Amino acid sequence: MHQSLIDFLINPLKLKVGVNIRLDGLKLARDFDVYVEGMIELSEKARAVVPPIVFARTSGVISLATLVEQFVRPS
Amino acid sequence: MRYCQSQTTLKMSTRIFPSSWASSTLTKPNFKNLSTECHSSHTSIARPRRGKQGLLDDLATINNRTERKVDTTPPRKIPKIDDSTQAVLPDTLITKYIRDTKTLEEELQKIQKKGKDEYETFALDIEWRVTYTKNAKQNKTAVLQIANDETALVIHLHVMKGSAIYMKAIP
Repeated sequence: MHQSLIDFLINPLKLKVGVNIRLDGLKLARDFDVYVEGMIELSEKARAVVPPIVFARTSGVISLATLVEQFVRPS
Repeated sequence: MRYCQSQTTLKMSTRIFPSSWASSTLTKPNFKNLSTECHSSHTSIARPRRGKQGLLDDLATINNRTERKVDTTPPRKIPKIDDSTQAVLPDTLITKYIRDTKTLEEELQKIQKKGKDEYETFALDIEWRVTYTKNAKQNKTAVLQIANDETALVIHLHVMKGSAIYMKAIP
């Protein structure tokens, strides 16, 4: 892995958003010894934005497909 | 002898009623009366026969019950999200495939518009070839994707030229 990429991943101010991003961080730590900082779980943020009934059926990580269905509309 | 004596005295004391019973307000309970009451209550459980009016009353009560059971309120619906919380997909989203370190460095500098000490958000995802055998060694990360609101970088780490792929980070 190149140093510029490592610098980007390690920087805690550059926030990395994703679904189940904890696993991605663990995988990168196992493979390249890069400990990613500034990770944000997307499904957590989604739960915070909408009323609790919307994602009441799912617990924990919400799949990206359902998140897109709820939040993104075509231009 | 002494032990025996103490036992007898104990028995005597239990037989004696407490002093409070002797007062005028509290009287000794009449057990005979209680037993007869129980019998009478048992017989009164059987319903007395009623005429037409009684049947009609029963019908009315049943009807009331059924009316109560019917729930007229509409079922709870999942509320629709406002437009303010919805995001609109950008018209043009550029994807760039990167497989050498030189372009990687350039593109990473381009994607980070703000300085190093300022907050910025990116989307991150990684892909690798999954092994399905149990306890087998997992494959290394092959592709790393970093996305902005304008551009998405697809970094193919597995075929990266230049510096070593498995270079370790400085702690």
